[in-house]
Amino acid sequence: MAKRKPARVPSYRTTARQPRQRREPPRVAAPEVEDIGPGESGSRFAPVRRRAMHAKIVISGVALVCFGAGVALTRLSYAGHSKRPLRPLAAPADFVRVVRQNLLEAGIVAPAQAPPGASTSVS
Amino acid sequence: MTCHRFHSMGCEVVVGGAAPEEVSAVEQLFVERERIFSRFLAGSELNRVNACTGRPVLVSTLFAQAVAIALQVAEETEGLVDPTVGRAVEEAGYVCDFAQLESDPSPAGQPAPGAWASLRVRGRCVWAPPGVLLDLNGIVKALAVEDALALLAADGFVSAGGDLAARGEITVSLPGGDAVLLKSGALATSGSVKRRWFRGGELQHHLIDPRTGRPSRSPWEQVTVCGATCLAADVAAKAAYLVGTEGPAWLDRRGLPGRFVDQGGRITVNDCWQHSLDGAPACI
Repeated sequence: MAKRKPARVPSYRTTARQPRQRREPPRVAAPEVEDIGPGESGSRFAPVRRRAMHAKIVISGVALVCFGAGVALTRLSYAGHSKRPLRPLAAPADFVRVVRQNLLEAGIVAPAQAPPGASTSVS
Repeated sequence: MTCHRFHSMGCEVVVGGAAPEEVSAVEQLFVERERIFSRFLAGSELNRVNACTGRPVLVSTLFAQAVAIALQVAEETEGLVDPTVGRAVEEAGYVCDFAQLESDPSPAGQPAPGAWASLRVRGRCVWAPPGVLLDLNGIVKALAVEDALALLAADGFVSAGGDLAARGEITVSLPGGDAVLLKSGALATSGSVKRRWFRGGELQHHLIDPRTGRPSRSPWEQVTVCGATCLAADVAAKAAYLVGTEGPAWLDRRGLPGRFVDQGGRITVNDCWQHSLDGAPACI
């Protein structure tokens, strides 16, 4: 370990700026690794990299699908979008049917109680 | 109730309970409708439209409304009351005012079935297929009676031919000698008793069956129906006449009271009519 020097306090009276010395991180002793040879080291990390790559692809795919589904759902649910080709507004079929039934609505008759004041002769 | 009578649309019009100025307004209304819709006035709008079949024609608002209503009526009656039977009426020989109509020894022309489904109206534009002639008499008289009744300020009635609309209760005599109290709505009678003539030795009349293009061979002589409006009553009476023996059931299915007089003078009423006279709840 190199002997650490005490930090110098910059003097404001000096005009020339002294380069700041950076504190070096303490060196940690590297763990002792058993030498297993270059061939064995490559075969150990390759599956990990493959799994990582596979996970990235899956996550990217899921994200893409979720985004697409979100866009589709937004288009379907947002009121300002036209979901299908525009058609002119029309009354519901049930309403039209009821209105047309009223075309042949019945009147009210009862037994006569007085001499006729009018007649319905054949046309 | 004071009654005023005048002649229009080939029949007697009776106005009851109207003030003098209302009577003149009613007369004016009928004159105007006849000028537009008559088949026998050379310059009528109907004849001008019939002269242009196969081409789109711009018509008056009133005429376009009448055609639109006629199409609704045709749809509602499944084509029984058809506005396109003008050709069939002419082929049967009804080519002039009925008062001037004479028997014709020549046989009737070709049958001309109705073609209402091919008639088009958009706004004030009317288009009829080539050769198809309109006859709006089936609804125009009923509409005129309704519009005339609306001109009366107080209770009263307007009757034209077999169509009668009233405001307030009134007792009305029926074909065959009975009478009935009309509490609300209108009564209309259709039949082949009055407007009939001979052509080629065969009896003809003005109620054309659109399915055959010939005068109907209905077993009924007169059919009376009570409707909420004069149009409803008149249309239903014509349809029930044309349906034939199914007429009473046809009216019952629609909740309309109907009274039928057959060729022998026998009277039949449908269930709704009977229930109304018995004081039972109205048919639904």
